[in-house]
Amino acid sequence: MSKWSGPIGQFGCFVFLLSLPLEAQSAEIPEIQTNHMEAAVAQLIDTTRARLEKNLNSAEAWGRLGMVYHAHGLLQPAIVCYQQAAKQDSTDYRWPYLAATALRNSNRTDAIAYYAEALKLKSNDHVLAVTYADTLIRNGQYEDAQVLYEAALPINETQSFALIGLARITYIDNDLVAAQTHLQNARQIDPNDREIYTLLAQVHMGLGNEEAAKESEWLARTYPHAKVLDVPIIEAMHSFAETAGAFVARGKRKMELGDYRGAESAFRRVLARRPGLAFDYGNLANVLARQGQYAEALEYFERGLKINPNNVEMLSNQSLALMADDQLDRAGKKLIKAIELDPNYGHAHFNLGVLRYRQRNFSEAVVYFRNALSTNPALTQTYLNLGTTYDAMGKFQEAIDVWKQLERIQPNNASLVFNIGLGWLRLGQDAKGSSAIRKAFNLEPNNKQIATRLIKLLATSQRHSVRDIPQVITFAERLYASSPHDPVLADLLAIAFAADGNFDQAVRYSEIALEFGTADRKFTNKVRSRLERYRRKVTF
Amino acid sequence: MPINAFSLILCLSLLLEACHKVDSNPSDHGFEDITLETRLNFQHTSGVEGRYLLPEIMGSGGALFDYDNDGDLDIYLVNGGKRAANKSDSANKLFQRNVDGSYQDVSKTAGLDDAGFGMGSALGDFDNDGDLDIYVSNVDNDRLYLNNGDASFSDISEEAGIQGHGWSSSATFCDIDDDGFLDLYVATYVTQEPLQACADETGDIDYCAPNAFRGESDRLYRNNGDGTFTFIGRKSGISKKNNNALGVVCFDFNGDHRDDFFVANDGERNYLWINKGDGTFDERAVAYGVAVNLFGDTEASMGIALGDVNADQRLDLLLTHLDEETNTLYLSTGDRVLTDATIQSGLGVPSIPETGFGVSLFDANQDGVLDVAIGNGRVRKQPGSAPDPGAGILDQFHDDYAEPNRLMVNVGNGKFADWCAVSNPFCTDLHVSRGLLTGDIDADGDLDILVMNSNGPARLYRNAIADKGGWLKLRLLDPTLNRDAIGAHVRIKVGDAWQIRPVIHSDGYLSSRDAVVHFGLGSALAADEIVVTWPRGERERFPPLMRNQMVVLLKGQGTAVEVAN
Repeated sequence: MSKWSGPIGQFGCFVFLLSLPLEAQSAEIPEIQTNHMEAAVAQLIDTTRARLEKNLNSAEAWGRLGMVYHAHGLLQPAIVCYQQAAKQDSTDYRWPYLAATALRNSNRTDAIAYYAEALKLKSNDHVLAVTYADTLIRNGQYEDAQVLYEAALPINETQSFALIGLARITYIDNDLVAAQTHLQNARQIDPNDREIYTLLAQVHMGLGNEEAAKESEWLARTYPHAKVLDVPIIEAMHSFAETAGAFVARGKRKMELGDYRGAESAFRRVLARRPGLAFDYGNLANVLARQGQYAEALEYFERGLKINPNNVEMLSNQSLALMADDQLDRAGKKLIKAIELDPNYGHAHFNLGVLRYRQRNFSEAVVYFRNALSTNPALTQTYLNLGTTYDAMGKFQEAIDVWKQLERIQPNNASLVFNIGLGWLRLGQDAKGSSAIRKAFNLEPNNKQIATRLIKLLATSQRHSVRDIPQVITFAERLYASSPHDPVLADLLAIAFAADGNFDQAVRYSEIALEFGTADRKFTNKVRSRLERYRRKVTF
Repeated sequence: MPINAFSLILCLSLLLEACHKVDSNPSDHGFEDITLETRLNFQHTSGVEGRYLLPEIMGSGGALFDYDNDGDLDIYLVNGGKRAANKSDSANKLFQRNVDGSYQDVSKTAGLDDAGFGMGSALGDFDNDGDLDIYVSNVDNDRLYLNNGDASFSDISEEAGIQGHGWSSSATFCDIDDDGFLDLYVATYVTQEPLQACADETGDIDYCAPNAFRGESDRLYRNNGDGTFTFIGRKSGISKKNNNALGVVCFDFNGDHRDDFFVANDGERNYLWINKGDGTFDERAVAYGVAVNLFGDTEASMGIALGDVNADQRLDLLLTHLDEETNTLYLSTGDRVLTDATIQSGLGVPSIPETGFGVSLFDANQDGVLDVAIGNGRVRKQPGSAPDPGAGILDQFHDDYAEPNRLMVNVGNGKFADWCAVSNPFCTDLHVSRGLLTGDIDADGDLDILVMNSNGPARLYRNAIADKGGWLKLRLLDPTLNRDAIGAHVRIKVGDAWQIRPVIHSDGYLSSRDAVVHFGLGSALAADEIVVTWPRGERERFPPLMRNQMVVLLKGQGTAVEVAN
C-alpha cells in the first residue's frame, strides 16, 4: 500500500478535478522569436525544435524542448511542450512536475494541479511531496500542506524540509510551542540551515524569550544560506541553459562543489562569449588561483581590474593570489585599497588580518579580524584566526573567548575544541583543558595531533584529577591498532605504558618507533631520550 | 425587535456580497484623471537611450506639501534625465496650486529646479521655523533645500554638512535623540560600478538586478540644531552594513518612544534598526519577523506603507515587491511583533504578476479602514518578449515595462479585495509607475492619488468615489520643537472602533508628504475620542470632533492622559 493511501485519498478527487490543464489542446509546436536572443540560445531552440518536428509522437522530444524553453525562462511555451509530452506518455511524472515548477511562482492554482498529477504518478517521493506542500502553503491551503508534510517525514528522515514546513503551519496557527518543537527537531537534522533560525528567532520573540531570540538571530546571520532541495530533474532542466549568465552560475556552483576544473571550463566559455566584463575575468582568476595557477590567475585579475579598477571583490581575491605568491606588500596595498573603497567588505578585512598575521603584526591582525566579524558575521573562519592570533600574542583567555563563540555554531569542530583545550592548558586550567581535549578526541579519534596531546596530558599531568592511566593505555592501544606501523603512535603507546610503570612495554614500543623511523630528527631525538629514561625505569 | 433582526440580516447579506464581489459600479470607486484639467504638465525623463543603465528604470518620486503655507497642497516632482540634451527639461519641478485648482510651474523662482539625476525627496521642518524643508536624493550629489519662508528655497547642502555622494534612494526625517530637531536617514541603493547592462534568461539585453552591483551603506545625520548636520552613520552602526535600500520609514516599532528605522532592501533581507537610545542602533529585522517573508525568502522590497489594516490599533507594514513575488503584509501582533499575513489578507495573489513600487495605505472610501493603492511597473522584460522593430526607444521602454496599477479595498479585518473597475483610469492607465502619494489635493476632504511614472507623465487622480463616509483631518502642532510632531500617533474612536494613524512625512517609494493625518468616519457624525501620543510618549486627550473638518491639535491644549508603565 502506498504511504499516501490515507490522507491522499482525498487528494485523488482533488487531482482528478484539477488535472485538466494537462489536456493539451493541439500538437502545434509553440513558436517564439529568437532573433533577439543570444546566438547559442537561438541555435539550441532551433535544433531542439527541428528534432521534435521529426518525431512529434515522442514524449522525450516534447519534454526536451519544454526543458530548453524552461531553462531560458520561456515558461508559457515550456508548459505547452510539457502538456504534449504528458499526452504522449501519461505515466511519466516528470512532465507534470516540470510544468508545476514552471508555474509555481506565477500561477499557484495550476501549479498545484500539476503537482497533484505528478504525485499520483510518483507517490513515494520526498522531494515531490515537499515542493507540492510548499506550494500549497503559499496558496493558503494549510491543511492539505500539513497532510503532505506529515506523509513526507518518514520517507526521508535525514531531511528537515518537512519539519520546517510543519513549523510554518503551526506558526501561522499561533501554536508557537509546536512550531518551536518542529524547529528544534529540524535543527537536530540540519544545524547549519539559516531557515530554521530565522523562523526560530520569531518564535522565541513570540514566546517572550528575548535572549533565545537574539541567539537565533545571530545564528541566522552566521549561516548565510538556506538549504535548498536537491532535485535532479530540475538540475537537468537547468543544464540546458546556454547563455553566458547560465555558464557563470554553473561555474560558481562547480566552485562550491570543489570541481575547479569544471568551473574553469565554464568560466572560460563565458569569456569566449562575452569578453569585456570585469567580473568574468575575476571568476576565472579565482578558480585558477584555487588550483595554484597563480601566474595566470594574477594575469586575469589584472585584466579584470583594468576594466574596473574599483572592484573590491577582485582586489581582495587578487591579494590572496599575491600572498600565495609571497608578494605580501603588493597584497597589502590591494587590500587597503579595497577597504578604502568599501569599509564594509568583510573579506578584505579578513584577508588583511591573515596578511598581518603572516607579517607577525598581531595587533593589527586582531583589528582586521574584528572588523571582518562585525561586517560579515557569516565569515566564521574569522573566529578561528582571531583566536589563533590572540594565542600567538599570549592572550589565552581572549583566544578561548573567541573560540567559544565559534563553538556555539560548530560544537563538533574537533580542531576548534582542541584549540580551546590547549588554551585552558596554557592558562594552567588542566581539568578544563583535558575535558576539551577529550571531547576533541572523541570527535576525531584518528587525529594524531589531538591524540598525542591527550595521551601526554593524561599520562603526565601533575594533577591527579586529570591524570588517567587506564584511559591512556586504552586510547593508545586503540590508536596503535588502527595503524601499527606509525612511529608516532608507537611512541604514544610507549608513553602510556611508562606512565603505568610498565617499562618493559615502554622500551619495546619506543624501539618499534625508532625502528619504523621518521625523517623528523627532532621527533627521533625525543624518542631516543625517552627510551633511555624507560631503560632506567624513570618516568616523567 | 423583529425589525431590528431584519435589519441585521440585511446588513450581513450586504457584507457577504461585498466579500465576494466588490461593487462593480464605476461611479462607486472611481478615480478620475484630472492631470490635464489641472495643467500638471510634467514629463519624467531618465535618459533612456538603449544602454540599459540601472538608474534609468528606478525613479522617480516626489512630494505633496504646502510649500508656501497658503493652505493647499503643492506638488514637487523629481526628475532623472541627466543625459537629456536640454538639462532644464530634466530638472525637478515644483508646481504651485492656484486658487482655481490648476498648477503652475514655479521651480525656478522657488529655487527647486534641481538638475541632478533625481530619485526622490524627503520633507521635514528641520529648523523648526514652521515651514517644510526638503531633501532631494539623487543618483549622485544629494541636495538639502532650506525653505526661506517666502516661497523660495536655498540650497544649503554644503554648509549643512551633507555628503551626498553615491546613489541615494528614499530618505526620511525624524527625531532619533528626542532633542526636538529632526535628524535625517538617507537610504542608498548600489554602486554603479561596473557601469553595465545585463541580460535576461535568453541572453537578451535588459536592466541588471541589484546583485550585479555592490550595495552601499545608508547614511544617518544628526541635526545639530543650528542648521548643520553631523554624519553619525558609522558611530550609530547604521553605516556598518551595505545594503540595496530603496525604501525607509521611521517609526517607533517596539513601543519605547524612540524612533526606529525600517529599511526595505531590494533582493536581500530588510533591516529594522532599533534605536537603543544612546545614539546607536541594533539591527533586529530577523527577530521582529520582517527580514524575509514567512517562507524565508528574501524579496525585492521597494515601497513601504505603514498603517493599521486590521483595526487592532497596531501599525502594520505593507511592502511592494517584484513580479513572481507577492507584495507582503506584515501584521503587528503585539508580542509576536510582526508576522507575514499576506496569504490571509488577499493582497498576495493579485500582486504576483506585478512589480510594485509606490504604495499607500489610505481610507479611500472613508469607511474607517485602510485601503491600498499601488503603483506598478516592471524592471525586467517578460522573457521572450520580442522587440517591436518600428518602435522608438521610449515606446519600446513603455512596451517592455509598463503595467497597470492596483487598487484594493479593505473589506474588514485586514482582508482585501480587488477594487479596479475597467473604467477606473488609475488601474487601467499603462505606465511604468514609481512614486505614489495620496493626499487631499482638492481640499474636499477625501484623499486623491498622485502617481509618478518613469519616462512618462505624472498623473493626478481625483477621488470620485460615490457615497463615501465622513472624514476628519488632523494636524498635530508642537509650538516649540519638532513642530509637526513627527513620530507621534493619533488614535480616534468612532462608535466602538478605534483608528490609529502615524504622524510621518515619508513612506511609500522615494516620496514624501505633509504630516496631516486623515480618517474616514463612515456614517458617524463625529470622532468621539481623540488621543494623541506625542513623540516622547506623552499622551493627551482632545475633545470630540464633528466630521468633515480639518483641525489643528496643539500640544498642551488637550487633557493629559496617564500613561501606564
